[in-house]
Amino acid sequence: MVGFGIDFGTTNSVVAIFNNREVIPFVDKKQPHPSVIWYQGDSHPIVGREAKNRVRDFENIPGNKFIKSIKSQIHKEEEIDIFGRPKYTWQVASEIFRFLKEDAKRRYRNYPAIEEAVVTVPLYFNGRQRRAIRKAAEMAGIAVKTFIHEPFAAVVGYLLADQNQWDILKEKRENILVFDWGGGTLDITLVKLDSGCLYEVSTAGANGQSGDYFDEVLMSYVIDTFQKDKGISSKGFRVDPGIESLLLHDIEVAKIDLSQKSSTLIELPGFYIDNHNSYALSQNIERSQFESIIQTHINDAMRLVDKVLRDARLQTSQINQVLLIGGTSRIPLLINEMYKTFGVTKVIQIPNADTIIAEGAAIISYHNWQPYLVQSIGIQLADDSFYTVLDSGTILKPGATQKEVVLFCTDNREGEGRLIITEKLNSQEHKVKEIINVPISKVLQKIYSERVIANFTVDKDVILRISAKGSVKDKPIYTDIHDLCYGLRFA
Amino acid sequence: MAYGLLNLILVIKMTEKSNLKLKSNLMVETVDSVEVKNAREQIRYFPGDFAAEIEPHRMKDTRIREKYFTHQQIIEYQQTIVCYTCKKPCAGTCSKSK
Repeated sequence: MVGFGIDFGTTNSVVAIFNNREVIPFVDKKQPHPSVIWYQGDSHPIVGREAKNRVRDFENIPGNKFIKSIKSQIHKEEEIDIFGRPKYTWQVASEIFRFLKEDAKRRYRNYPAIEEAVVTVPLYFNGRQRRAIRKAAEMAGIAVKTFIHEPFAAVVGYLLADQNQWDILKEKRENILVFDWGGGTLDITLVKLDSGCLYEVSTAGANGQSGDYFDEVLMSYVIDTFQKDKGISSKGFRVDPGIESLLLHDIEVAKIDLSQKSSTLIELPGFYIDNHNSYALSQNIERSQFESIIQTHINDAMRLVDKVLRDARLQTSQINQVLLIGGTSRIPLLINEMYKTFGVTKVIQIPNADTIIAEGAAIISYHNWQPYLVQSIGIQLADDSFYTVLDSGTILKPGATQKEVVLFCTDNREGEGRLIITEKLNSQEHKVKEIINVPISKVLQKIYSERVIANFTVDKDVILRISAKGSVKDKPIYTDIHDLCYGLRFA
Repeated sequence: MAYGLLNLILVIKMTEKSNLKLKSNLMVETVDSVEVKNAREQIRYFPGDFAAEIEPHRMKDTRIREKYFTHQQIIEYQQTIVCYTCKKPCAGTCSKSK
């Protein structure tokens, strides 16, 4: 028996397998597969490293279309035109799942084909995004066993791969901060290890200001510097889109270089043509220049770390380990900030940071672990009390977790029943997760018959779906709670 | 005019960052068709002023209101009664009624 885990990433994607002895990431020359899709006419697209390696040479040649960072667009409903054939974003994303499945079959023949897997998602991914990923995986012939948050999967991969260590871990109590900064997202999670359980305590995430965004910021800086150096006026200045895409590719390489070196050179002949004069780009970028450009974003990220600690009511001294995951976490400026905040010994740059998320997902898949709810979910009532609908520890199993709550109304003068869904933080504190205003009759004498029927269901995308219906409208109002804290018991 | 302006400023301030606590107007009756405790005491959770609108005779009759309503509801109701002397719902706190 084996378990498969898939980390479908903005920049890279990877599958890992766990067979209860070892966890093996299906990589290409020790590297994860770039999430790049290369369409050429009607034929099947090329995906992964081969596609990424050809971006620079073929992107501007007619008959070629490259799609990068499809994960960042998965929430969009509009279709992408692929040589006259419109495709939904999930249909494009399914090419990555298909490639992962076929690559595994081709290069790892000793293992069974990927039929089902635990798939990881960023913290903030809502119902629509999860459904799109599920459809993408299913279209490629992979059933999604469950979704798990990426940083949480990383901790599982980091701690639980070796079952012989479980007895030792069972006795430990640790606070582990996972800082996962990739191409498209920043996810920070505080995970507790306590009495054979691993669970998320607080989370924070930001979408956008990550690796891909830094590429664009650095590109703007390079273009501005080029203009100033050459004395070219901004008026009417426009870099050819084809040249710009070449530059973006070189910028990404330079950015990665700057994590290792103190300076890097970007060279692009024929970068700009003006009045028959051709200008080449040749610019040296110092690491310090790059750092000054991204300093504010590093500060923003560190503020999110503070928020996660504050929400968990923990001091930096109470954190036992800080795991740095994702390509953007390799930026030396960030690592130094982490050292300053937590101390050098606590900050861990995992050697297999590119594959650890998929590895954790594979372990979860092998053991058939279903996440449980860490904090109780309930309803704030008219007398200011809290009614628990789903207790902490409830297994978030699709179909098995559902409750119907009928509520009476205590005041219908505003014509709505105010259903306030809260999360219990501790015995005194509750955090409002959602408010649903359910239309009810404003006729005062109908107050005794007014009811709001609320249904709580955990769907197959591990999202808490709440529907609420009053007397005025036939159709219920739906809301999703997707940012639930997950936990699992391993021993 | 000045009062209106002050009100407007207050409203803007509240919109910027509201300190108002959201109040629910719902109580649980059944969970998975099983009735919860106090599910039949709907009237005892009405705000006092609203209870007086729905059941004016019971609220105004000082002999029976103690039976139907909670102490809190009665206080809330009394706070809405317009004072004979100051012509405002002062709940007996104005200087004239003292």
